[in-house]
Amino acid sequence: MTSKRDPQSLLPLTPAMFHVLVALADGQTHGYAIMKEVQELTGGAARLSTGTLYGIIKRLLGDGLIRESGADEGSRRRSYELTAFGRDVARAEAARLEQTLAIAKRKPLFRRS
Amino acid sequence: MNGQRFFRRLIRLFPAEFRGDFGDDMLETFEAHRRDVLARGDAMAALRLWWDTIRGVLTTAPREHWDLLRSDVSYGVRNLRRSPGFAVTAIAALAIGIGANTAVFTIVNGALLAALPYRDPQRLVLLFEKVPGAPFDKFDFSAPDFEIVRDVARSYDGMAAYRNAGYELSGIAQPERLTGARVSASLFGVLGVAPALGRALTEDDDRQHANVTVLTDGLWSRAFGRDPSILGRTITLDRQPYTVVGVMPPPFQFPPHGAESNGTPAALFVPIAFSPFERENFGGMYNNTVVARLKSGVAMEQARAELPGIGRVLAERYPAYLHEMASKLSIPLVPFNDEVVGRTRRMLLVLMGAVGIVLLIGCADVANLMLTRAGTRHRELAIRTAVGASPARVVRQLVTEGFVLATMGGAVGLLLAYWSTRALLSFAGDALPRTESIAFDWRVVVFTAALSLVTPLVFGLVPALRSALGSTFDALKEGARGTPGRARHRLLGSLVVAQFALALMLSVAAGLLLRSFVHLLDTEPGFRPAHVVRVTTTLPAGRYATGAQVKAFYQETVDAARRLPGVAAAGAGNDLPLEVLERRTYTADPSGRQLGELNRVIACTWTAGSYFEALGIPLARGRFFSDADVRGAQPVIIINELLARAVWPDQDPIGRQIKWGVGASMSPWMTVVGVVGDVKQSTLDAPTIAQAYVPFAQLSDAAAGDAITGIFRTVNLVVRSSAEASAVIATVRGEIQRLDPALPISKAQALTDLLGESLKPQRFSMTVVGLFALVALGLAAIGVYGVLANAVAQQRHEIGVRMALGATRTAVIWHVLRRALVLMAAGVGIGIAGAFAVTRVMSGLLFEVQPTDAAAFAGAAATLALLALAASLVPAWRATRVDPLVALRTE
Repeated sequence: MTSKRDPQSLLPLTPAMFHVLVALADGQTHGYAIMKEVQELTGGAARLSTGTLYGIIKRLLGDGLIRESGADEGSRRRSYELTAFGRDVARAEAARLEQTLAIAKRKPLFRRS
Repeated sequence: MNGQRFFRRLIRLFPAEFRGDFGDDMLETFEAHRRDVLARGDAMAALRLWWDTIRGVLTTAPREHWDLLRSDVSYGVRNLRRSPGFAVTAIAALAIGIGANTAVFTIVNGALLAALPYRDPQRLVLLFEKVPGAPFDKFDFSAPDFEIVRDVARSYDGMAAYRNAGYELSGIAQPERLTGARVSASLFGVLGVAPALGRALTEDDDRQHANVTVLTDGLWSRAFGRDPSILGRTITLDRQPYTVVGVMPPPFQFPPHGAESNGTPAALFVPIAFSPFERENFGGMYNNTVVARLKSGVAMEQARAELPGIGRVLAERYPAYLHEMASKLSIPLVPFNDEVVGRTRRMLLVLMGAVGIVLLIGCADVANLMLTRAGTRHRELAIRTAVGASPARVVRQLVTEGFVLATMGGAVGLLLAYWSTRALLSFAGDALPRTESIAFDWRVVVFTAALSLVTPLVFGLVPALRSALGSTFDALKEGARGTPGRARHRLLGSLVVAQFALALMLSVAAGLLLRSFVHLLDTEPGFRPAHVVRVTTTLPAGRYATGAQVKAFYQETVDAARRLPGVAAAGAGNDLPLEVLERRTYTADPSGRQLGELNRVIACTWTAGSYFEALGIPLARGRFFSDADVRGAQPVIIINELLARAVWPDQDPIGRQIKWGVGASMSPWMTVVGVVGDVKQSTLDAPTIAQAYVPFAQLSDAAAGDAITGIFRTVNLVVRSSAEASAVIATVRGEIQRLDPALPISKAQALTDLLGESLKPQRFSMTVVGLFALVALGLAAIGVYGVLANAVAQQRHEIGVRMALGATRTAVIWHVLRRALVLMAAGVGIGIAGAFAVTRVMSGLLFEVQPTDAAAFAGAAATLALLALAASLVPAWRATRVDPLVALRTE
C-alpha cells in the first residue's frame, strides 16, 4: 500500500503532523518521546498534548505514514516508526515548505534585514 | 493518583474504540510527562500541562466521534442498499409516523402555541358577565356595564370594548359586504399595536360619533390597491361617507378567529360610539366583548380577586326591577388566548395523541423489521464481534443505522407533512382557530428533527442491545439457518402485541367519534333543508334610514321570490335556524306558569311571508302568520313546543298572551296564534331552547329602522323550490339586484350546505382521527404479517418435518394462525384496558355517546381481529406450500 501512492495527495500536512513525522525520522520511538522530541525540535514553540498526539498517531497509522514497531524494551508501550511512504510524504512536505518560504523571501519585506 | 484518575475520566470523551486502541498508551504517556513536570517542581509548567491536556482532549475527541459517525453512516447506507425492501418499508413507516406528527404539530403550533400577535399577549384578558342559571355560561357586556367596570377596575392599564359589525363597502368597482368591528378608541393602546399609516381612533372620534375608520392592511391592498394617498380619503360604508384616518400594519388581525363571540377578524375598525339609548340600556344588548391589559405586576389572581367587588358596584347601579338578576351577576376573567383556542384545545390534543400512537406503531414496525433482520445478520455481527469489534461498537453501529433510517424517514415525513398540513387546513375550514398563524416555521423543523433523533432510540436500541449482548457464540454454533432464539421470538411477539393494543385504542377513539357523528346526523334539526336556499343581505342605514323602508324591502323581496316559477314557498327572517342570535325576556299572562326572570330568556325571530312553510317547520297547533298580521291588527306571536310546554304545560296555549320585558314592561301583549316544532338554534349538538316568532310587519318603525344594533336590517330570504339550488340562488339574486343594484349579497347557499357547515368541526375530528386509525391498523397489519412471514420462513424445516409426518394443511395453517391469535388476543385485551383509561378525555368531543360505548369498543376489536386474521392468512398459506422434501434436504 506504500508503493504506488502519490505523497503529494496528502499535502499540506498540519504543522503538528509534520512535527511528529520529523520526530520519527531518527528511528522508532514511543509516544512520550515523540512529544519531547517535538518540543525540543521547535524550541518549545510546538507543544503536543497527549490527546492531540494520539489523534495524530491514529491518523498517520490510518494513512500508512507510520507503523507500529513492537513494544519498547521492558514496557508495554508501543513504539512507532516511519514507513517508506511516510518518509516520502515528510520529504515532500519539507520541499513544499521550502518552496513557500523561497517565494516569500523574494519580497522586499524579507530583503531588508 | 488523583491526576491519573482524572485523566482516565477525561479520555472517556473519546470513542470506546479509540480508547481500546490507545487508552493505555495515552495514560502512560501522560504519566511520563507529568512525572517530568513534577520533578522540575515548576508550578506554572504543571498548570500548563493540565491546560494543554484538557484542551487537547476536548478538541480531538469530537473529531474522533465524527470520523466514526461518518464511517458508520456510510457502512449503514451500504447495508440498507443491500436490502432495499427492508429500507423502503422502514423508511415509509417512519415517514408516515413522523410526517403525521409534524402535520398535526404544525397545526398545534400555530393554533395553540403561537402567541397572539399583540404586545405582551399573555397580559391580555377578556372579561365576561355571568348569571348562574342563565341560558348562557357567560356572555358579553352591555354598554353601561362596560363603562361602569372600566371606571371602577384598578388592575388594568386599559380596557376596550369591541363587537363585530357588518358593513357594505360601495363606491368601489365591486361593492362588497365585509365584516368590520366597532371598537373603543382605547383598543389599539390595549393591544399595543399602532397603525402603520396615519393614526388610531381617538376618544374624540368616539364622543363626536365621527364617521372615521382605520383599515387593515388586507382591505387597503384588496380594495384600494395600497393607494398611498388613502389617508383622508372618503369611502362609502353602508352608503354613508367615512374618512380613512389610519391603516394597520400587515400582520395585525383583530379580533382573532376562534373566540366564541365576536370572533371574526375585521377588515376595518370604526368607533364603537355608544348611543344614549345603549348607554342607559341596563339588562339588554349584552354584545360587546371586553378586552383588558393587566397592569404590570398585577397577577391574574389579583385581578380576579378584585372582580366580586366590581360586580357588587355593578349590581347597585342596575334599576330596581332588575335587581333579582343583577344581584347574581359575576364577572369571569379569561386569558385572551384561552378563549381563542379553548374550544379546540381538547380536539387538537386528541389529534396529537392519535398521531403519537401512529408513530409508536411505526416504530414498533421498524423495530420488528430490525429484529427480524438481526436474525439474518446475526452471523455477520457475531463475526464482527469475534474479530475484535467490542459489543459497544456493534451497538453503536446498529444505532447509527437506526439514525440513518430515521433521518431519511424524517426528511420524507417533512415533505408529507408539508402537503398534508395544507390538506388538513383546507379540510378544517372554520373548525380551527387562528389558521392564519399556522405555518411551517423553525419550531416545526426542530420538532421533526427531534422526532427523527428520538425515534431511533425507541426502535433501534432494543434490537441493537439484543443482538449485541445476545449470545454471540450461540450464533456461531448454530446451523446455517440462524434460527432465532426463543427470547427474540418473545420480543417480536410483544412488539406485535403492543402494536395491536395501540391500534385498538386509536380505533376505539375513531369509533367513538364516528358513532357520535352518526348521532349528530340523526339529530332532527327541526326543519327540512332539502330544496331550500337562503340568500342574505343587509340593508345599509344610508339608503334605508327608516323602519318603513326596511319593512318595505322585506315585503318586496318576499313577494318577488314568491312570483318566481317553481317556488313553493318563500319567506324571510332576521335569523335562520342554526344561526338564531336574538334573545329576549318575556312575561306570560297570569294563565301561564310564572317562571323566574332568568328562565324567561328565549330565542326570538321576526319573520315575513311564508317563513315556516319555506323552511318546513311543522305546525303543531293553531295557524302560521298570514299577510293580514300587519301593524294595527291584533299583535300575534307563534311559540315553539318547548315554550308551550314550559308555560302552559296542560292548557292550550292558543289565545293566551305574552309580552316582552319583565315586571311592569310597557310592551303590548301579543296573542299566541300557533305552536310550531322545535328548531335547533345553534349547533346540532347544543340543546334546543324555547323560542318565539313575531311577524316582521308588526314591528314598530322605530325598532325596524334601528341602526345601532341593526338586527332587523339583515334579510334572510328563504325559498323552497323544485328547481336546482344554484339556479334558484341566481334568480333570487337577480330579483334583489333589480330592487337595489348596489346591494351586495353576503351569503347565498342551499340549506343542506348550512347544515353541513354546522357539522364541520365534528366531521373534521372524526375524519382525521379515523384516517390515523386506518394508518395505525395498516402499520399494525404490516407488523403481524412481517413477524409471521419471518416465523414461517425460519420454521420451514420444522413445518416440513410436520408435513412429512402426515400433518394436514389445516393443521399447518392452524399452527401459524394460533400464534397470530394469541398475539391478537393479548393486544386486544391490553388495548381495551388502555382505551378505557384514556377515552375519558374525549367526553367533551362526543355527542350522545359515552366514552365507554360498547359498540365502539366491540367494533374496533372486531375490525382489528379481522385485519389480523387477513394479515396472517398469507404467511399461513405460504406455510402449507412448504415442500417437505426440499425443506428436509437443506438439513
